[in-house]
Amino acid sequence: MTLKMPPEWETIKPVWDATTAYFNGAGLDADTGYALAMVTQELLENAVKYGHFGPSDQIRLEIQIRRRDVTIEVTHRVEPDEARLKRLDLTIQWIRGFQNPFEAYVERLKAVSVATPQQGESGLGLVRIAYEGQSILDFYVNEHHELAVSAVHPLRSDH
Amino acid sequence: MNPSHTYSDKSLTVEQFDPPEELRLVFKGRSNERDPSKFLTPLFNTSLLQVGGPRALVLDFRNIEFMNSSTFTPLVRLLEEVRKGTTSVRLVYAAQVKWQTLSFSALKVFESGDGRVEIMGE
Repeated sequence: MTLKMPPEWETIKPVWDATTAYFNGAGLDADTGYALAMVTQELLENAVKYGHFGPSDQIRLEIQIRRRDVTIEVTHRVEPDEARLKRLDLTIQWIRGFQNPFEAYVERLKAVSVATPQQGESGLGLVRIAYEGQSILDFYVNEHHELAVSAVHPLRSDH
Repeated sequence: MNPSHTYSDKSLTVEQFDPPEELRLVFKGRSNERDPSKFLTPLFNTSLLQVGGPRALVLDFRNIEFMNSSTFTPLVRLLEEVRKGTTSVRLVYAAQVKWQTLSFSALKVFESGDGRVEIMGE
C-alpha cells in the first residue's frame, strides 16, 4: 500500500479507516490491525508536526506486509537540522536501551506528566509505537533531505 | 440516564453525568486532534472544581475508539495533579479491548496508593 498526501492534519485523519481496512483485508487479526493503524497514525502525525514542507511537498506512506513482518514507512521533507535528527536518534536509541518497551513508555509518561507545555515534543508517540505497536523503529535521511521513519512489526508464525 | 452536558471537539464527544456520588465523563469517538489539551485541559479543570470529599471524578474511556499519543498528555498531567492533592479520580477502561488494556494499564504508575487515584479495567 502506498499513499501520498498533503502535509495537513485533516488529511491524515481518514488514513485511519483506510489502513484499518487494508490490514483487516490482508488477514491480520483485529488487534494487530488496530495496533498497526495506530503506528501509522502516530508516524503521520509526527510527519505533519515536524516536517519542513514546500508548496508542493507531500508525505509518503508505504506499508509492506510480508510473511514474517509488516513495515510501515513514512517519508517527508525535513530541514537540514542536525539537532532535530540527533534528538530523533537519541530517542530511538533510548527506547532500544530498555529490555521491555513498557518500561520506556512508563518512564516517558512520568516525564510528560510533569513537563511544561514549553518543553516541546514529548516523544510519546515513538515510545507508544515501540510498546503498544510492538514495533522496531529506525530512520534514515536520503539525498533529497527527506526523512524516512520506519516501524517494523514482527508477525507471529501462525499468521 | 441522560447526560447533564455534552461536550464535543470534532470526532471526540464527552458526556457528563452528575449523580450525587460522582461526576462521570464518558468519552466517545476518536481523539485525534493536533493538540487535544486545548479541549481537554479546561474540561478537566472545570470538572475538578465540581468534585471533592467523597465525590469522585470518573473518567470513563470504555467507549473511546482511538486516542492519539497527544491525548495522553493532558490526561497524565491531570492524574499527576490529583495524585499530589486531595480529590479522587477513577479512570475506567475496557479490559477486554487489547489496546485499551495496553495503554491504560500503564497509567497505574499514577495510582496514589490510598485509593484516590485508581486505574481500573472493567
